[in-house]
Amino acid sequence: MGLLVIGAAIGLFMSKYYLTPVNTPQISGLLWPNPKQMGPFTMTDQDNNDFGIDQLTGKWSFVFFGYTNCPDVCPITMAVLKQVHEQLIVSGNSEDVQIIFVSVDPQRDTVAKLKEYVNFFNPEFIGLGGDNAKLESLTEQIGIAYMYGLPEENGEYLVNHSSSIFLLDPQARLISILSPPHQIDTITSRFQEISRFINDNTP
Amino acid sequence: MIKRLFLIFNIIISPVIFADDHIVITDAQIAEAPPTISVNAGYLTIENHSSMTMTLTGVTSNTYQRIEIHESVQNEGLASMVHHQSINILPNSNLKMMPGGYHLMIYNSGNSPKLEDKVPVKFSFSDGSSIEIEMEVKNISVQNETKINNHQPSERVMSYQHFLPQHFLSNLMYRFARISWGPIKNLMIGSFIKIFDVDMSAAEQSNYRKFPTFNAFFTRQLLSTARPINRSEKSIISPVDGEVSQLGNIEEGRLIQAKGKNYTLKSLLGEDLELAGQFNNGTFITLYLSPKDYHRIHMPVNGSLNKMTYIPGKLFSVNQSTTNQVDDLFAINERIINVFDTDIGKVALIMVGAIFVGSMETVWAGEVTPKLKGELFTNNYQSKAIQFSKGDEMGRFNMGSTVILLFEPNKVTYETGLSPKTTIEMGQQIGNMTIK
Repeated sequence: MGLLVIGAAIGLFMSKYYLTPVNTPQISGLLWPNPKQMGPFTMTDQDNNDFGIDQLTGKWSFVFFGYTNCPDVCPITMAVLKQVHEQLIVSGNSEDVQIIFVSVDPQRDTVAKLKEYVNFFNPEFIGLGGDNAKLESLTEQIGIAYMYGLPEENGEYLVNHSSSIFLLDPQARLISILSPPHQIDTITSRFQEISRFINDNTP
Repeated sequence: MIKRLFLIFNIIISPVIFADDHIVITDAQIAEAPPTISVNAGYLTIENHSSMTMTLTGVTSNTYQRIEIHESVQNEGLASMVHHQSINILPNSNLKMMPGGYHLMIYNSGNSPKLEDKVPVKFSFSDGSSIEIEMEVKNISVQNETKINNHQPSERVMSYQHFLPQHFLSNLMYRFARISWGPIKNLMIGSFIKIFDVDMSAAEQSNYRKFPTFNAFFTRQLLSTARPINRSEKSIISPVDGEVSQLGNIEEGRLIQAKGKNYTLKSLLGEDLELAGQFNNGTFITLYLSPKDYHRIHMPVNGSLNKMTYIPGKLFSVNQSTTNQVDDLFAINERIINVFDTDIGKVALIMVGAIFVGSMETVWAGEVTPKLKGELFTNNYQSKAIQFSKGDEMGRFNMGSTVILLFEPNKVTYETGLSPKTTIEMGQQIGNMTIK
């Protein structure tokens, strides 16, 4: 009997010891317990202001990489994010959320073009651009790939780019990578689960 | 039956009329884009009603110099576009150009089309025919269930069945079920009867050893007196033996799968928006066939076949515990959507495949799965040549599965007393037609 009690006590202790610190919740796509901490980077937003790590801090960020001349995948993904944003407004989660479109086509996507592009979806959305070096200061940290197709006779070219949506928490940590197919309800509910989890686990 | 076969034969050899009479373009629209963006996407459905493959070779417009056929492809998280010089549309099937898949890439050279503009666009085919339509510029809003890749299960789905090679197991079952060597076959049938407590007294052939294969036993015929068909004029009968899984109204395009779980009509119907529109706000009833049940499917009402669509997919089990667990189950699993013209408008009878369902067949098309696995296709039968009376056999499952019936709004009142878990028999009345 005594052994049993001791055994149970050890079991309880071990389970607390092993389970509590890790505490990996049943949330798919959550990069936990070691989310990547973003470091400094400099990009330019649609109003020609610098945008860096400070602008990521204190807000949840949904980040999508694309280019404005992308006719299909980018506008659809932006439209999905627009509706996720609307759902978050309804549920009262939108204040601490920013939606960021990062252009991987600095050659064609000027600041003016980016402004018009994000305004088309929602004037509150952020469009980031800059030269190649600025772009790489962000993409290398997140680890996304993009490749330029060969230009055709009219000078147009296609860009292959990551189609995932990257979620960063208010401490500028890469907390989840949402891979396609992108579904509005799935993204919203996953965001709500993740933000609840992070809030519960932030000292 | 001979007459029916003859009619099917007639459809197959019916003469080919000029191809351009057989091409119909629907849902054509151009996605609105910010004015400085030099490209727009165009979306549409091309229906090929002819009996030959049509090849789309060019898309042109007087307004825009260059329109290309592109396809968005997702590969390991990287999105890219593939430029197609031409594209084939198989006989009696549709090509859907929709967000995240095939689309027209319209280079607007700075002359961006504005909302509600109508752009004339000409589609040319390899046989020399062409068709010209107007494409309206619309704000393409994304529906919740728009999927970048069609027919992919939701990411949230978590179940051990994900890790089972479903199609492999089902193929294996398909082969086993067709073994005719006595000892194995009799052992299989005998144990099956014991395990699932099958009532053989209603079967026409009550001696299980007499069935040539397990499959013949599984799809056994019943005594003609075993399943009386309610013939009253306005009755709707159960097409199968089984139990009611769910029933109710299709509200805001959604159906109930299990308690607390629902799924969309559009995804169930493989994004067939026209059909989804017809059944929206209508009613549904989902019937589960257990392994011990009779596995032939009969007509719930009189009707003529309008079309049959095969949608490839997964083969999850459809038993209650899986149904409670796996999201969008009926919109993920392989299925055949049969649409009939009836006295109460369109009626859809959807046969949902499941793990170990070796095959599904219909009387007019024979075995639809597993032979044609992999490609979505639609066969149109609008000539009304294939007619059924209530109670006629229309198809079979060669293992347990599920049937979903869809009715248009205000056409059906279900029998009181029908609720989840109610056991029903084929031929029993499940509802009444509401005809004025």
